[in-house]
Amino acid sequence: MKEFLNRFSLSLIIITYIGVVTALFDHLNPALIIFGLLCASYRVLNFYGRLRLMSTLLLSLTAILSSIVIILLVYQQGIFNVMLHLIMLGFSLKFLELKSIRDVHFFVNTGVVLIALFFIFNFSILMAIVGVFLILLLLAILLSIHGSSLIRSRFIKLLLKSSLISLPLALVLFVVIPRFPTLWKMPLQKHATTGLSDRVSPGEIAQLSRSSELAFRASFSQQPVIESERYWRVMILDAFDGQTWSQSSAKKDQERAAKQGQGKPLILSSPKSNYDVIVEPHYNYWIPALDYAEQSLHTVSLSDYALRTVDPVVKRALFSVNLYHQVNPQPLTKIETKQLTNTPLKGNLKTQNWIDVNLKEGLNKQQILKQLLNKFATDNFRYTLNPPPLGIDQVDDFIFATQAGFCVHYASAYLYVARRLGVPARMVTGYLGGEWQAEDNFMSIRQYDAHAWVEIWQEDRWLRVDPTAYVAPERVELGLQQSLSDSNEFLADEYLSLQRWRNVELLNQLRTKLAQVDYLWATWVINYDNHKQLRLLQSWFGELQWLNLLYAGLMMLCLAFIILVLLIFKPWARDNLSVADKCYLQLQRYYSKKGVFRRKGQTITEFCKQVSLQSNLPAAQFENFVCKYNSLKYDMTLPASERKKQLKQLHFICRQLQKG
Amino acid sequence: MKIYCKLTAPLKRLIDRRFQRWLTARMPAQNSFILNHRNIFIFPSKFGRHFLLLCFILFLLGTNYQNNLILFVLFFLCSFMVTCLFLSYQNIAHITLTATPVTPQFAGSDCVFCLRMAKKSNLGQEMSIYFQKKSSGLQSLISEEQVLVYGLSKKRGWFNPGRVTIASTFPFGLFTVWTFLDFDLRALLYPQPQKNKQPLVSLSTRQSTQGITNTALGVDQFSMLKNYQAGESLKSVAWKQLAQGRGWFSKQFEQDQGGDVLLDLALYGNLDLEKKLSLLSYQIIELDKRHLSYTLKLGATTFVAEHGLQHKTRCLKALALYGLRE
Repeated sequence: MKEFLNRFSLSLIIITYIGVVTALFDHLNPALIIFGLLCASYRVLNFYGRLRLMSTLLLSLTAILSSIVIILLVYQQGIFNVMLHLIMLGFSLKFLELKSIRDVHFFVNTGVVLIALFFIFNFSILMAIVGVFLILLLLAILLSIHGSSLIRSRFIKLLLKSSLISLPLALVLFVVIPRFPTLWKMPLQKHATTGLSDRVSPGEIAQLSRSSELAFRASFSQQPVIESERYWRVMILDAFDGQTWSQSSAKKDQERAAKQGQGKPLILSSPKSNYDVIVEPHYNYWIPALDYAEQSLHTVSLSDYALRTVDPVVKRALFSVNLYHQVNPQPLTKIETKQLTNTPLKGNLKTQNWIDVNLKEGLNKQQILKQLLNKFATDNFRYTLNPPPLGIDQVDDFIFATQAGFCVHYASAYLYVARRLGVPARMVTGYLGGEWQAEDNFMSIRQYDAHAWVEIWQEDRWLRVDPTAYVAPERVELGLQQSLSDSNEFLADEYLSLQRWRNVELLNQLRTKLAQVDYLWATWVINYDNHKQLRLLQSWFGELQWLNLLYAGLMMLCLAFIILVLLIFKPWARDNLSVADKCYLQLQRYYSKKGVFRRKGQTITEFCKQVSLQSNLPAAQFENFVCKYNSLKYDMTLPASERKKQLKQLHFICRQLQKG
Repeated sequence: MKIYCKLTAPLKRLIDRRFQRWLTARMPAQNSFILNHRNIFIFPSKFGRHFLLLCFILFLLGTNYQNNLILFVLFFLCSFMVTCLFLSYQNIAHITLTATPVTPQFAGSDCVFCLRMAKKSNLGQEMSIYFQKKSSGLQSLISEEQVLVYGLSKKRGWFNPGRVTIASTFPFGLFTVWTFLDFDLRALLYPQPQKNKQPLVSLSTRQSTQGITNTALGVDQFSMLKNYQAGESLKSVAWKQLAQGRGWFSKQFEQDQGGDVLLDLALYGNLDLEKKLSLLSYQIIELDKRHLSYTLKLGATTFVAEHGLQHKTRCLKALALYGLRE
C-alpha cells in the first residue's frame, strides 16, 4: 500500500498522542497507556516498512479483545471512567489502521473529545494553556495532511494566523451566547473528596494544615467581616467515641432530608450583608458558611447553620450567600440533648477527677469551663502542628501530660469536659481566617486555614467557644503562620510553595499577582454564567437605552465576523510593487497629465519612444531609462551590488524625465 | 443494495441532468475564467460534516457538565470553521485560467489540454484539476503557470472532454472548494492509424491495374543524391556514400509522372467505415514519412496530389471529420 502520510505528519500525530496521554495521565490505566504506545510504535515500524498493517479481521479481533480487557480493568471506577478509557482506546487503536486521510480525520476528532474530557478535571489557567496547545497540535495534523506542500515557515504562519484570526469571534461567542441548563445528568468521575470530611481525628486537620492548596475564595459586597469573625462553618460533629469526632446517624439523616428539599429553612432576621464564595472542587457537598447564612437556589441550610449544595462540587463553583445577624434557635429536643451530652463512659479518669475536684470547690458548670480555658492560657500549653502522640485516654494525656497540640486537641478536650458536666456541646470544623486582598476585593482561604472549634448550648442558644484562642490568640487574629512558635513548622513539606515564602517581598508580590489572575479566571471564565453575562452586557450597554441586549449581542457577533473577514482578505493591502515599477508608473502618471497615454499592451520601449517624440528631453535619456528598467526586471544574473547601483540611477533618470 | 441502486439510478440521472443544465445556464462556456464567488462552490467536506457533529458533542459535554472551557473550545472550533471557509475561498479565488489551442491528436491516445494559469505565488495551494468525466488514466500536471490535463477518446472527430473540475480541500480539509468550468475545449482527433500489411508499392500496382494510374514503378524509386541538410530524416541519409567517406548525402526519391498515390475510400470495399478511415490514416502517415505525394479521395471531395505537412494535416482532418456533422 502506498504511504499517504509523510514523516512530518506522522511525527505530529505521535507527538499529539503523547501529549494527550500525558495530559490525561492521572486518569488512565497504565495498561492502556502501554498498549497505546505499542500501537504507536507499530505504526512507526509500518512507516519504515518493517511491518505490514493488520488485516481487517485481526484488527477487529484486537479491538474487541482490548475493549473487553479495558472494561474489565476499569468497570469498578464507574461509567465515566469506562467512557474515558474506551474513547482513549479508540484513539490508540486508530494507529493500527491509519491508512487513509479519513482515519486521520477520525483521530483528530477523537483527540478533540479527549481534550474536552481533560477540561472536565482541569480548569486552571495552566491546564487551559496545555489544552490549547494540544488543540493547536491537532489542527497542525490537519494542515500537514491538507497542505502538505507548504514550506515549514509558511506552515507555522498559516496555522497560527488561522487560529489567531478565529479568536475574536470565539471570544464574542463565549461572551454573548447564553448558557443552557444541563440537559441530562452525566456520569461523573468517582473522586476522593478533599478538604474537611465528616469525621475528624486530630491527625486529619494537621494534615490539611500542611497544605497550601486553595480551599475557596470569598468576596464581599460590603466590608469583609473582621478577622476574629472569619469562622467558616463546614461540618458539625456531634458524636465522640473516645478517639474520633464524627456525625451521628441522626445528623446524617437530617442532612439527606434537607438535600431532598424536606429541610426547614432557618428563621433569620436583621440582614447583614452578602458574599460570594468560589469553592474549589472537593467532590463533597459542603459550602463554607459564616454565621448565619441563608439558603438559596442551589443550596440548603441545615438546622446547625451549615450550608450544603444539592450536587457535589466537582468544579470551581460560585455561590452567593446572604448573611443575617440573628437566627431564631430551635429548642433542643430530649434526644438531641442526649446525643449532645454523650461521652464514652470509660477512660479519662484524670479529667473526671479534675472536674469532680472543681465541683466540690463549689464552682458551677460555667465557671468550670472558664477554669479550663484559663488552664489552657496559663499552664504550659503549646500550639504546634507536630504534637507528641496521645494514648488511649486522649483527653487525659493531652491536658495533663503532653500539653501540646492544635485546634482539634483543644476543642476536643473542652468538649469532653463540657459534656461531662452535662452541657450540650458540639464540635464545628471549618476554616478560620483568610487572606484579604484589598485591591481585588477577595479573600483566599487555603487548606492550612482549616480549624476546629466548639459550640455550647447556653441560654437557649448556641454559643461559639474557641479554646485555641486562649492558647494561641494569634491563630485567630493573624493566621496559622504567626501562631506557630516554630516558624519552620509552617508548610514544612512544601518547600517550593510561594505561600511558605511569603516573607520574601518580591515572591509575595508575585504570589498575590498570580492569585489575582487566578481569581479573575475563576470568576470570569470558569464561572461565567447567564447571570454574569447579563451583568456584563448591562454594564457595557446599559447606558444605551435604545439598545436591546439581544441586539447588542447580535451586533457584537456581526462586528467580530466583519473583523474576521477583514483580517483574512485585507482589502487595504496593496500589491507590492518593485521600485522599478513604481518609477515607471510615476512616469506614466506624469506624462498622462501632458496628454501622452500608455495604450494597453504597449511595451515600455514603445511608450518611451512615443513620449520622447513629444518631449524636448533628449531621446537618449529615455532609452537609458528603458535599458535600466529592462535589465532590472529581466536580467536574473545581475549581481546585488550592480542592481542597487542601477536602481539608484533609474530613480535619478526618472526624476530628470519628469522635468521636461 | 443492488435493488436500491437500481431504483435510485434513474433519479440520480435525472438530478445529474438537471444539474448539468443548471451549470450550463450559470456558467456558460468561456475561453478564460477568473475564479470568483460567481463560479466557485464551497461546501463542508465529509470531514467538515463530521467536525460539525463533533461540535455538537462538545456542546452536549459542555452544557451537561456546565463546563465553560469545553464551551470555549466549541466556540473556538466554530469560529475556526468560519475562518477555514474564507481561507479556502481565498486560496482558490482570483486565479485566472485560460484555455490554449489544442494540437490535434490521434484517437485512442492521451490528448493533452493545456490551461494557462495566472495566480499569486502563495495561493492556489493543493489544487486538483481533472475532467469531470475522467477519461484518461494520466494524472494532471500542475505547475506554477500551466496545468496539463489529459483526456482520452477512441472516437475520431472533434473531442470535447467536458467540464474541468478544479477542487481543493486546503487548508484544513474542512471545506471542499470546487468548480466545474467549461472552457469549450475541443481537440481534433484523427482516426486511429491502423497498421496496413499491404506494402505501398503493391497498392500503387493495384491501382494501375485498375487503370487509375498508369505506372508500374515503385513509389520509392531513387532519383538522385543531394547534400544532406541538418534536420532531414535520418532514414533518407545515404549511408553507403557516408561509409565510403564521400560525406553526408541524402537520397531523394521521386515518383513517376503519374506516380501520385491515390488513396480512395471507395477502394477498400465493404469494410467498416471506421476501419477504412483508420487504414487511410496509417497510409497517409507512412506516405508523409517518405515525402511522397498522394491524392486523397473521400467520396465527393478530392484532395489533389501534394506532399508536405500542410497537406497531411488537411487530409487527416478530412478523415477525422468525414461523415460527421460539424
